[in-house]
Amino acid sequence: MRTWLLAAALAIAPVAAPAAEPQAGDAMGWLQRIATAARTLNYSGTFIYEHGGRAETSRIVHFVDPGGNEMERLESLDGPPREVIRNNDEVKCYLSESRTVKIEKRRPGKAFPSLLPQQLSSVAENYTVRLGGQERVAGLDCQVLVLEPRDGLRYGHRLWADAATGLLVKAVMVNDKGQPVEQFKFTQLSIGAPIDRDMLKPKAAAAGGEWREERPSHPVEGDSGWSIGNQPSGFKKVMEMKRDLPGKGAPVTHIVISDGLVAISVFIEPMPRGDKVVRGLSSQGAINVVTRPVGDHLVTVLGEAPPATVVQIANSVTARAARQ
Amino acid sequence: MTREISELMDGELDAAEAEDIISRVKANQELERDWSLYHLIGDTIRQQAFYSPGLTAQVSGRLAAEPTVLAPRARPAREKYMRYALSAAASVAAVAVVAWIGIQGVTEAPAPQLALVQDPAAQARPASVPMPNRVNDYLLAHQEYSPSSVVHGVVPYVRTVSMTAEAGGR
Repeated sequence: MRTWLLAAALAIAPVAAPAAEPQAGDAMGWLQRIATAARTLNYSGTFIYEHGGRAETSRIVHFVDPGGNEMERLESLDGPPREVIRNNDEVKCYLSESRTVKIEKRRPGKAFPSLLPQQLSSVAENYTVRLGGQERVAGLDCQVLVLEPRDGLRYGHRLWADAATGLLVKAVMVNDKGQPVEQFKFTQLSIGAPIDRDMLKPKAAAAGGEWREERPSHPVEGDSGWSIGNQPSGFKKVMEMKRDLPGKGAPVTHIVISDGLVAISVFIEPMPRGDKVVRGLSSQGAINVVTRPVGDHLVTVLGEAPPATVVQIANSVTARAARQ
Repeated sequence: MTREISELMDGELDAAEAEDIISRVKANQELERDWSLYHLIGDTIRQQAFYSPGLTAQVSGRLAAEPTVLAPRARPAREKYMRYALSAAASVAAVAVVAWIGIQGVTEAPAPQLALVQDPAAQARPASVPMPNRVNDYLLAHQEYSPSSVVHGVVPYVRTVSMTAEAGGR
């Protein structure tokens, strides 16, 4: 009986799928698969990060032990040595030039190895998600996944996932003219091969010497007294908090909004004294940053979104009358 | 001339007059600035803000592709229609101009043209504007909360370390 029901359900399912985007279900499945693969597979490889005419090569090693502990190491191969080490929820950036270790803790419980259902539905609201063809990248047969923005407030994405495991092999973000703004691409990748634990240790720290640690305080969630008046459509607030950050004299307000696929952060700090503050728009690859004063505060908005979106947010950040 | 521009913006001119004004505005940079300024003033009064880089070019392209709007035939029956069309085109152009100003207003460096080098023509574009040093910690804090870290793992952190290299005076 149960088998019969299952068979009937399977027979009905394709008919019930919306006719407009017959592939959408498959495509969303692939997106979920990519997110899971990034967290659960052992892999090591070399990738190129391209932005604004620059290209940088980095090596990455990702390891999950039988207990589910996740360890990851990223090392820049070009320019001054820099390393990023992730140990479950903690991320350490070793910057050898300034001999500084920047430490950041992921939001507890965030390391869930997939995209949450509400994230996926938000992605579907803001992007047309479809499967592209099959292409070969870094020696692997890849499934292409295309996410086209439904409006001009966000970038488009093209993802190449290893057809066998779902691991992301190449990712390109494109602007409204279809020009790439940023690209990550593996040139060599081995999936599932044994990982030597030594490959996960920070080289920089092993070399010895004094390192200055910069560790921000734990965030305190809650109403900050600030709001974004003209929030771009499709973006929802996912976090609002106050925290101490290194080099900032007073607690900084941090508001995060997301459209399911990318996020934009709004930082509000008391106007720094002394040093000349750079105002205006700057960018690196897909990240756009805009800084502007609001009263006696300085607002910095940054995220993987087009300049206009970031500017729109920056121009509408206001202190609510109740508190200020 | 300012009066004519204002009338043009309000859609009060007939097709021939409008065409004349438009060609004069197009030929004179100072008038073009006035045109932009009036729209900016109008939008500021109405407390509207439009931002969309590249829209200017798109609209220019579209206007160029629509000779009927800028070179209307003198057919009385169509005149009213033409005026509406022209009015609409003018407001779209205005949005574009204001959009451009909106971006320029907050940009110290030229609005970034973001492109990966794929062909020699693309190489001529300016590269991304480097980020200020103080943004580094913010980027690191941001990265923690971005869904892209879920999809890409630690890979996006390369942005953080990459930026530090630039800020370090390299």
